[in-house]
Amino acid sequence: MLTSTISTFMASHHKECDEQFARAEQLISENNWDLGVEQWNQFAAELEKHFSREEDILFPEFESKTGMTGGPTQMMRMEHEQMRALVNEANKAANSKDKDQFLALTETLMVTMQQHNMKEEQILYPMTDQSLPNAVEIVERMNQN
Amino acid sequence: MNTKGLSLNTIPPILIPLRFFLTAPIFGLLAASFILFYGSELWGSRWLPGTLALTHLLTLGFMLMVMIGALYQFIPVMIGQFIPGNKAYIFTIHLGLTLGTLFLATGFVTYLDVFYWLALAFLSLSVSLFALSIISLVITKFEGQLIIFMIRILSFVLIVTIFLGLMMLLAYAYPESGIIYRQYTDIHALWGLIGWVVLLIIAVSSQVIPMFFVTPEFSVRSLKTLSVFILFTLIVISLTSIYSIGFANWIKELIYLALSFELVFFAVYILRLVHLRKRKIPDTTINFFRLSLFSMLFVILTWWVFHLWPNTETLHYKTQFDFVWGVFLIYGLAVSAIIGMLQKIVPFLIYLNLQNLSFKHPESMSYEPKLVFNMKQIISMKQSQIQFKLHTSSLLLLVFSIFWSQLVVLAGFFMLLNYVWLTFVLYKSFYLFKKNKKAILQFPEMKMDFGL
Repeated sequence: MLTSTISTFMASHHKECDEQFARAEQLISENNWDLGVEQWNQFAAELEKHFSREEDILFPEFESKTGMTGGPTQMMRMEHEQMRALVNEANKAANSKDKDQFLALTETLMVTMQQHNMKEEQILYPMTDQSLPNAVEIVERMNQN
Repeated sequence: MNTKGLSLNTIPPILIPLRFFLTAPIFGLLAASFILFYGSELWGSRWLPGTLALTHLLTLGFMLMVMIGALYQFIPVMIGQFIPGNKAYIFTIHLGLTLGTLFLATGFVTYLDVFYWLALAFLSLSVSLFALSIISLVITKFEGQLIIFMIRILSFVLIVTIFLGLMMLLAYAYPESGIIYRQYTDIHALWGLIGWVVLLIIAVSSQVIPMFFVTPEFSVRSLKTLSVFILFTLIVISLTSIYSIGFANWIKELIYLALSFELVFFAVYILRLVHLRKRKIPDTTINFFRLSLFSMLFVILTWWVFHLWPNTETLHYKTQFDFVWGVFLIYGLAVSAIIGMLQKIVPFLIYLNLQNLSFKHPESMSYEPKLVFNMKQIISMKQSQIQFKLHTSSLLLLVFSIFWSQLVVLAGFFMLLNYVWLTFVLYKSFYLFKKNKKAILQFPEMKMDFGL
């Protein structure tokens, strides 16, 4: 269905990231550092892929179509930076095998990520689906990214 | 979906929810002191003034207080719009609820009419303002979303509960009015504890559990149907008891039985989803949440024993079990879920506000040690675990003290400890926030525009 193209595609990518996150966190909480860090790196790469799909493709399209450059997308970019900062800190904790610090940061990241996702899924993605007539093509480009 | 007028900048000023969260545990302290002061006298009859005061210190002073604060935080994130009302408006709601609850408890223990009148004025003002602002938010827009559907039902349930409560309060304040209030007591409690608490837990958990614990999604259709069934059952129960409709007793029991099955369905449904979660790391909020649902299941199971297989041996314990059910529904179902939620919502609020502030003062980000706390630096895992142990032991002791009155002082003491710990943890969190906010503000500000 055309009206939910971007919403469906992006929301299902959120779910994928969540699942990778949960696996990494679980492994590290069981002190399985080798597999845990590997899984964590995969999650971090997937999360970064998600951010760049938005920052490089989706947001610029939305901004140029609607003229809204200082509003919602800027807010989302700022939240991406918040999450990047947490991922960086968690990387450091993972490298020094500091489990408590790692889990404290992932807990914070999880809540930040979820309230961010909720805003995107409830508001921003439906807005992009409504305002971008070339949604199918945009999804195609994001998928190849 | 009409996204016009929705905003992604949905963080309310931190002092709005915190004001409610920091007031609530003080009422918990008061409630625990009541138990220590009155002792096992409280379990004599549910109509005793001390017992009524205790109940309302917990339900209004603690439960409703936190719930209102949390809704100011949740609703904007969930639906992209703030609950209408400026600072003065929200301050009035908070002050009205605080003073109204204090006056109500004072009225119950002093029997002075003036306190009932004051309670009536402050509580009706506070809750009407809150209900009005929520209703204005959901009355016209947002088709289809589960959360809007739930907020609509919740607003209705809150209004019925409060209306019944205020009517009984009027009967206390003005006995000449001739209102016969006792028949409304059970209905008021049913709407408050089953209607408001259970439906609120359904609404909030359907949004946050799949997200934070990576579980399968809730079925929107099941939850909508369940909520409508619960609401319908409450209406039927209320009408049949208020108008003494001449149903045979077995029909009335059948309606209650239907309600109990709806609640069992809800508890089992959520417990199953929680069990299926992919994020299985130890989490105290999950423990609180399970305790909350098991408390309700225990109430239903024992209720079945009394109502389906009544015999003289079990009926002998009926008065005690009225209290057991009350304790499990208020302190078990509602207070457990609330304390569990506070373990997450308060650290997150503080983290989020410090983080946003540090973006406005970017040079603060390179300062070591970091000025933006992570959530566990605000409330640690260990602190939450201590809270859970204190809460569970005080819950069990309270229940045991109904049967063995010599335990009541110990129960009150543990409840006091539970709330002392909660007060300490929440005020310490607030102190940490103030301290680092001040530190971040020392750095120069950069202008940003997040309009919309």
